[in-house]
Order: sequence, then structure tokens, then C-alpha cells
Amino acid sequence: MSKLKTFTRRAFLVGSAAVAGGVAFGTYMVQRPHDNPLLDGLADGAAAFNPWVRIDATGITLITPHADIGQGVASMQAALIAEELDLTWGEFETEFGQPAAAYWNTAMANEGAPLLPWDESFGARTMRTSVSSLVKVMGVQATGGSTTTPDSFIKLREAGAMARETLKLAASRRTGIAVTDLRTEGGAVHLPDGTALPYTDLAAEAASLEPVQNTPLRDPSQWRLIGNDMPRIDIVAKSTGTLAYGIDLDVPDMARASLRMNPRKGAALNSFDASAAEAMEGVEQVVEITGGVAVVASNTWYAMQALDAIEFDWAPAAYPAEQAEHWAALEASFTEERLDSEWLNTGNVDADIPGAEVMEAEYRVPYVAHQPLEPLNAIVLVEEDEVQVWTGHQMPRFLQQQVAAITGHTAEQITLHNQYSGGSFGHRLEFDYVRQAAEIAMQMPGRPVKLTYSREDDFAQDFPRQITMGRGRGAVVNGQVVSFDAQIAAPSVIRSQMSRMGQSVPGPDAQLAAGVWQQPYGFENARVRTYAVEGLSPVSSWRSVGASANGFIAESFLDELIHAAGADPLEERIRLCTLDDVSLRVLEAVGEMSNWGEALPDGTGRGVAFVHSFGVPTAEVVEVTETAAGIRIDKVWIAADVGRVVDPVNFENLVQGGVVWGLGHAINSEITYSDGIAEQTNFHAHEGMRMHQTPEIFVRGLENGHIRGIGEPPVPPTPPALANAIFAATGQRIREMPFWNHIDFV
Amino acid sequence: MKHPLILALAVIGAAGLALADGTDVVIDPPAEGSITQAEGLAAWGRIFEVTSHPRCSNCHVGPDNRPMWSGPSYGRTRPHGMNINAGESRIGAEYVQCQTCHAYSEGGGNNAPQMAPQVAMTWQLPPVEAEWFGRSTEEICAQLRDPARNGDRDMIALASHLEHDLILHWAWSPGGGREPAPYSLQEHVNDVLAWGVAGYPCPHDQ
Repeated sequence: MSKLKTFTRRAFLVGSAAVAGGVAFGTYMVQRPHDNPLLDGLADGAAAFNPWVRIDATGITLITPHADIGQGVASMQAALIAEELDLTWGEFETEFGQPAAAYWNTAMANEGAPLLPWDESFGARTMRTSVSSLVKVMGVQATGGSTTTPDSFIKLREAGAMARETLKLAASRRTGIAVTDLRTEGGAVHLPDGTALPYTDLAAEAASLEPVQNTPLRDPSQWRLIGNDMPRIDIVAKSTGTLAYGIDLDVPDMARASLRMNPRKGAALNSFDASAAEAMEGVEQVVEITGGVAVVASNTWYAMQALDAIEFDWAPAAYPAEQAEHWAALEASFTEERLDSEWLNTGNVDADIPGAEVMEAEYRVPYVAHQPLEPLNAIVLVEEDEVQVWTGHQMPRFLQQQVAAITGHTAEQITLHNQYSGGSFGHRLEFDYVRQAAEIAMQMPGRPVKLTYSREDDFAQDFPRQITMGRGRGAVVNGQVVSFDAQIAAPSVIRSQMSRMGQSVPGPDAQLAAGVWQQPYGFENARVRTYAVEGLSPVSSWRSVGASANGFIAESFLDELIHAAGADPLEERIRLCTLDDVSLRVLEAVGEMSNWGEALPDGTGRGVAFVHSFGVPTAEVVEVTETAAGIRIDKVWIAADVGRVVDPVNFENLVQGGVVWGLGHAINSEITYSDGIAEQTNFHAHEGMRMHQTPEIFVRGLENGHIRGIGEPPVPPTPPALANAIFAATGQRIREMPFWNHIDFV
Repeated sequence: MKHPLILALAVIGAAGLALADGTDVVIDPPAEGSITQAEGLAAWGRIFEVTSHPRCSNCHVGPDNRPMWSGPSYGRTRPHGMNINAGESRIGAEYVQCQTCHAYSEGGGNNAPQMAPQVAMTWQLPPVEAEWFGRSTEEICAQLRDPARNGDRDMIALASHLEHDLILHWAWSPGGGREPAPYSLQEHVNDVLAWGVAGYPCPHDQ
């Protein structure tokens, strides 16, 4: 095999997106493909044409490296590969794969670069390419920012096509029949005489070939899977309770641990007395770790019970002890000194407009917890030359580095067995629980240790969604909104999160402005400014990140202006939507779906909201009725444009789940601090929405824009659409979440 | 001199029933005429503190058959979560029986926060006639002394009811960080008896 062939076989050249970085930079570093991780230790007779397909005599395995945190991306990734590889749905296995630079996220640049989603100028494209190149060189393997679909959509079909054509080439070599006379179907190459050669039968021969590159992708008219309903590959296991999440795993000879950290997040442990705990049933060992104590016991419950028997002396919090001080810090942050960036400034929002009515309003969005149903957990086994980790995580390569820093191994010596997660909502972008499990395991070398948080400790240690205050100032004249000025003050999620990874982030934080400055409204006068608040609780990415708070502020205030103008909430948004045609069609779609404008019974009202987040324009109409027992949420209509809906059923489920998530948190949830400790200790005080409260939700996916993901975009328009509906039904304007502090719900 | 029946009951009461928390309830009414009207009203005031306390009133709800969550450990006052409706049966037979979650456990099963208390064989709402939640002292007092609405009970029967119904004992030892009803069960029984001996006075009686 030639040197070139050896290079390309190891390195593979899949991905027009993957090589895009090289176009602008032209550097070897950027153009150089990453190694194919499947080739390490590949068995004889097995083929791995690229990092996503492994075939041997016994079966076909598709690698789906994005973390499946409940959103169904293992199925979606498999579908994209299977589409071009002509596999019958379900007749293959999937694996999350090992951490590898080859799995770098080609779509991260969309959110990493502070650009308007519809900006296709040369400058914008250059910046995206620049950021993408950085992500590639760093080999950032990440699941987040609703990027899995845009990252995968071309790349994984190319991977499937490459494998298919290489298998056809193998069949051609064996039979002497020209490749052009062969076709593929149902996991086999079919000869003109009807003979079927299963891929598994061709694997060994195909493995010796140079993978076929640059195969054109099929025309969408030929798609069998994409755009059609596909039963999720995990649906049976999840429906029957047999799917093993990280928390379900057992490793032989495993010790079980739970922990207690300083409830004032991040502060130190001064001292502790574990003498009573050490004498308790099942307790094997009490282990001090950074900032806390772990109990290792014969079962997790014993460990949790023993923790309650330990007396602790904790250091005070590094952030204000009382909730009122957090709000006061935000109030004091609208200053030039704290200005993080001015994102938009058109016209003159300070000008006096003759005949205009000027309005001002302030909005508050609280801290909220992530609280996936599966509490944090990880199993770690530390040995001399290797560390193994079993957990569900969204950043596998960073996890390797974090563990390596504790154990003293190299990152390559850290093996992650990534697991299905019982939710995340951003929680599994954090590393604390893995680091803590590694610290415990370091004190018990050679023995796997399973760390499981109690729900209460999970609540206490969560880095919540950013607390946010928004101030709006605007003007209306002649029945139209003519001026819109939004100022947002919040802690920087990105800086807080990255600091825990030991990294600093230069420049302004685009998430501080997310959901406000990308709104496609062509106001005559508009300004968006963001202020970064420091010294408050550490915060973390929470499903839809900045837009989860800012969308509420922007679309509530716009609704107030439209009401003051005496205009129709939907028609005025449509009139204003002059910057992006894709967004306009989404607004029109939700109007058509909901039959906006039809007469409603007394006590019933509708609210509309539109938020552009993670590149997805999403419009939502909520209908509520005022009853004697409180507000009843009757119906929701929601439209979003993701360019292409890969799986309509999963799309609908994700959108409906996002709406329920958004409604529940808007109504019920907040984290408040007293004495530096989160006051909400479990779901009783941070409630999800109940089944009986859940409205009918009608979903439509539009396909006019770029390929995007739908994990997060349904969340941001939900609270403002609900607040606007409550106003329409009752005349009560709610400017603060959670709403149940102000109004009752059925 | 005490009424013979009262004496007999007092003897039974004095013999005492051991409570789950290890204490006994003694039913020992004061001598007739020994409690003034003012003392009776003061006793009623303490009784009202008990009857209007969330530990008691959360279950003394009206014809919507929906128990309440209120009080210091519940945060915001609201109907019991999960859309619970105890039905006209008041035990949830029409929907989900209260016992589904409030299953009886000999160990009590009530000592963890937010755990469904499991302290009695049957868990149910009191009759609609005994609606207390959100009611005034006059309203509850009038209900509690009205045989047509209190289960045809006099003070001894009321005290006896308090003595042997374990679900009521739980109100004074609710566990799980819940705030107990005020005073103690024995003090409450004593107040009921004193109130009865004083002639069941209510505020604003003419």
C-alpha cells in the first residue's frame, strides 16, 4: 500500500464540512484530517471505512458519537448513515464510540461565532470558517447547542456512501462485475443475476481496499428513511424499562459511593467529624475529596444515610448569601463598566419621536435547576496504565482531560464508555461528578467506584440557569412599534462554564444577547446591549441557554409595545419581520395553524411569541382560559424551520417536550438562595408540569432554511407566548418567572 | 360529680392507649362547672389554632374533594399535586385511592421529606360537613359543636375520636420536616374537654 493510501485510509476524508476549514486557512494543520479511531485494535476481517461504520462477518455497527441524552440522536445519526448505506432500519447495532478528535463538531461554529443566522456575507462566512477551523484543530467533540443534526446531516450520509461504494468495489473485485452494474439494498450488494452478497460477507475483502471517496449523495427523492417516521432504536428498551442508563450499570467488585459537598457551591470544607458515620451499617470507608466528603459503602443507600450522620463545618459561599442580594447585583449592573457588548444599534432609540408614546418595563428571570430525572452518577476504575469511566457525558474528550488531570494519566489512557443519559438539559456538560468519582477512585486503585448523587445533593450542587434582568424601552406611534431598546444583565454562562474547564473565553458572550439581537424585526430604531454580572452563583448552560431568559424579555416587551400601539400581536410581528424571509414564513405558518384572529369565548385569550435561537426561527401561539381554579392552558400551536425534518415523529416529540419543559419552568420553577444554599431541595419545590395541566400541542416543521437542530428552540418562545396569552385573557401582565408567584394555574 | 358515662370513659382513657410516639392520651374531663365561659373561649381559641393549622385543615376540605398542600414545608398553598381528587367517596375510589400512595406501613413511612405519609390503615378525607380549610373561627366552632355536622359527637366522643384515630395522632408527629399541629395531642384533648364542660362557647355567641 502506498504511503498516500496509508495516510488517507487512516485519516479518511469524509465531509465537505470537515474540509471547509482549509479553504480559508490553507494550512496543513486545518486541512489535515483526524485519524480514524476505529482502526485501533480493529479485528482481522473487520472493516472500518471511516469513524462511523464498522462491519465484520457477524454484523454491522454504526458509531453514533453524539451523546443521547433523551433527544433521540442515536437513532437520527444511525438513520443518516443507513440511508446511504442501504441498511434495513434496525438491522444494525449502534455504539457511542470512543472519544476522538475525528468526531469534532462541524456545526459548533454556528453558535460560537457572534453572527446573525441569516448573514451570508463574505465576512460572516470567513468568521464561521475561522471558528470552525479552531473547533476542528482542537477536535472538539461535543453534544450541545442543538448542533447534532447540522453536524451530522451531510457528514454521516457521506460516511454511509463511502462505505457502500467500498463494499460495492469489493463485490466487483470478487465477481468481476463492473461497479456500475451493482446495486445495494437491505445490507447487501446485489448482482445483476439477483444474487445478494451481504455486507458482512464482503467485510474482509473491503477492509483491504482503499475507501472510495467523494461519492455524490443521493437526491432527496431517493431517500427511504430521511423525512419518514422511524421507530427510535431505543424505543422498546425505554418502553419496557430495560434500557441501562449510567445509573443502572454494575461493574464486578464495584464499590458504591455518595457524597456531600459544601452546599454553598464551590466553597471549601473546613472540617468534618465522621466518627458516627464510620460505625454505621455497610460503611466501608469515608473519603475526603476536594470540597467535600464521600462515603463508600456496600450499597448506595447506606452511603447516603451515613452522609447524614457526618458533622460538617463548611466555608461560606463566594457569592451573596441571600437571594435579594443577587437581584440587587443585577439591578446595579446596567452600567458602562459592566457593558459586555452592544449588539445592535440602528436609528436612534433616544430620539424624541413626535406623537410617540414611550414605554418602559423591567423583567426578571430566576435561576432554575437542570434536574434531569437521572441524578448525576459515574463509575471510575483507576489502574496503573489505564482509567475507565462509565457515565453519560456530552464532552467526551474534555472529560478525558479532566480525569487525566486528577489521576496523572495521559488523556489517551482514559477510556470513556459513554452511556445513555436520563436527561441532561445541559447538566452533563459539567464535569464535577466525574472529577469527584475519579478522586474517590484514586483512593481505591484497582477497584471500580460508582458515585451516585442523591436528588437533594443534585439540587444543591447544580449550576443553574443564569439569573437575568431585562429592561425594555420603546415607542409606538400611529399604531406601530417604531423603537425597541433592550438591555440585558446576567452572569456570563459561557465564562462561568469554561472557567470550570480551566479555560478563559475572549470577547463578549453572545449568549447574553441570544434570543434578542437575532430577532428578525426591522425596527426603525433598535438597540440591544448586554451587561455581564460577576460574583453571583456559578451558572451553566440550561436548555436554550441565553435565549431561555432573553426570549421571554424580548417578546414580552414587544407584546407590551404592540398592545400600547393598539395593533394585532401577530400582524404587527409580521409587519416588523423584514430581515429574514424564513422567519416570516414561520410567523405566517403559526397564524394559519391556529386560525389566528378567530373569535374566542369570554375568558379565553391567545398570546403569540417568536424567538430565533440556535439558528431556528420558532413561533408559538398559546391559548389559555381563566377559570375559577386558575389559568388553564388549553392549546399550543408551534412552527419551526429546521431546513429538513429528519424524523417527523421524533421532531414532533422533541418540540412537544420543549413546550412542556418551557411551560413547566415558566409556571413553577426557580432556585433561590438563603444562607448561600439553594432553598429548593427536590421536585416538590421545583415542579415540572403535570399531565393534567398539559395542553394539546400542534407542531409543524418548515423546511425553507438551513439544516438545524430542534432540541432547544421550542423552549424560548414558550414563556412569553404563555405570558402574552394570560394578558390577553385577563389583562394581567406578568413580567417575572415563575408565573405562579403572580397567578394561579389549574 | 362527674357523669357516670364520663367517669367510665375517663377510666378507659386514664388506662390509656399507647400512641405510636409512645405517649398516652388521657380523657379526663374537668368537673362540671369548673370551667368558666372565658376559659372555655380561651380553650376554643387554642382548638381553632389546631383545626385551622395546615396539618389538620389540608384534609378538611369541601365538596371539590381535593386535599390541599399548604404550610411551612409545602411552599405555596395549592391543591394536592398530581391532580388528586378523593372523589365523593373521599377515599379516591372513583379515581386513584388515597391508599395508592398513602399505603399503611408499620414503620410509619412518614419520616422522609416529601414522602407520602403512610401512618394509617385507611387514608381519607373527613366528611364534607367538616370543611375547615380557609374557614373562620366562628364557622369551624359552629360546625364542631353541631351534632348534625360533627358525627353526632359530644366532647367525650370528640376526645375519643382524637384518641383512637391514628391519622390524627400523625398531625402532632408528622415527620419529614413537616410542621406539627400546635400544642400536643393531650393538650388538645384537654382543651376539647374544657371547651365542652364550659358549654361549647363560640366567639360572637350572643
